[in-house]
Amino acid sequence: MDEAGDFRLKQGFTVPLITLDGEVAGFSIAGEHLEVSPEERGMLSLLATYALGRGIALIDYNPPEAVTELSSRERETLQWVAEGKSEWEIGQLMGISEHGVDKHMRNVRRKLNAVTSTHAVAQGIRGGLIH
Amino acid sequence: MIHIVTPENQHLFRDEIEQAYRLRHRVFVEEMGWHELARPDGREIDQFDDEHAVHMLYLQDGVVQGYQRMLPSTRPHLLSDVLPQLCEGERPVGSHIWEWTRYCVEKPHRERGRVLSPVGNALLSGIVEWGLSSGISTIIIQMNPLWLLRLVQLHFRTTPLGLPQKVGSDDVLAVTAAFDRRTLSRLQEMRGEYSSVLAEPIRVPERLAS
Repeated sequence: MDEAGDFRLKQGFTVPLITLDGEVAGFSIAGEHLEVSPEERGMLSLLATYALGRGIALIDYNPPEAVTELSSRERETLQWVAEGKSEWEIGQLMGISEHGVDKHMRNVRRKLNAVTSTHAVAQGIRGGLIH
Repeated sequence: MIHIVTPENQHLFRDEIEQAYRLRHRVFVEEMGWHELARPDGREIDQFDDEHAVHMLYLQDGVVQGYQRMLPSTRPHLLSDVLPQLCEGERPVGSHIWEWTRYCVEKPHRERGRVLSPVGNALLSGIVEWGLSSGISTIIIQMNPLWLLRLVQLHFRTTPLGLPQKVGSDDVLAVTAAFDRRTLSRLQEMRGEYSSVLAEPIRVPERLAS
């Protein structure tokens, strides 16, 4: 208790909120000196409501899982392609031949239903396989 | 089920509408203390209960367990005539915008633990189903600010029309809340039922030749 004062949080107030599931939440605003007019209090309660509403939506959001499985070598190859490396460079980086790079990319294109390597990069980013 | 009562079918719901006026009196006057609405006959009726109002009843075995009223924004309504101070900017008006008023539910059917009750859910679903099939996309609401989070979570796109203000002893916030199929899906998910809550399909008035 009373520790808030050590962090110069001496005055404040809490906006109480109730979610759709009946959970109680509080949104606190504090500072060393807090002069908040009734209008500003109303504004802050709206702000708190939208912040919590958005926060709950983000927690509930499940990104679609990447259904496509790339092997770690295929994923690495695609990542290098996305970095703009040539086949020769990727071969050097991964210690394989250009032919090996081409083979990996052919598998990647097939697995991602991509027509070209550029398309595969786009699909890979969309699916969260590379960044 | 939700029954929608308009001048066209009100002769079929005389007794139920009487029940609704009495429920309104019990909830708004006796329970919430809006004494200016009190009437000696125990029926809460105001100047907006005219031929333009759309009444929605939640009926269970002939008994009204829930009620709400929709008023067109193109005619006098609460935000325009009673609580204009709640709207700081331009007032939302249009045939696609209606005002939601007098939402009430009989005590045994209310929110327990403050989760939206099945009757509350059905009434809200009633608005969304009615709106989606009659070209209405937005409702004006004057409410306790605590309702705002629930509406946001139900996928209503809400826009405050002003800051919360005291009306009597209550904090009241006016918002517009737009809805779409996502709102309906969310309500259906919560209800665990995907069938319509409306007792009769909406009859869309035929468009007059222009």
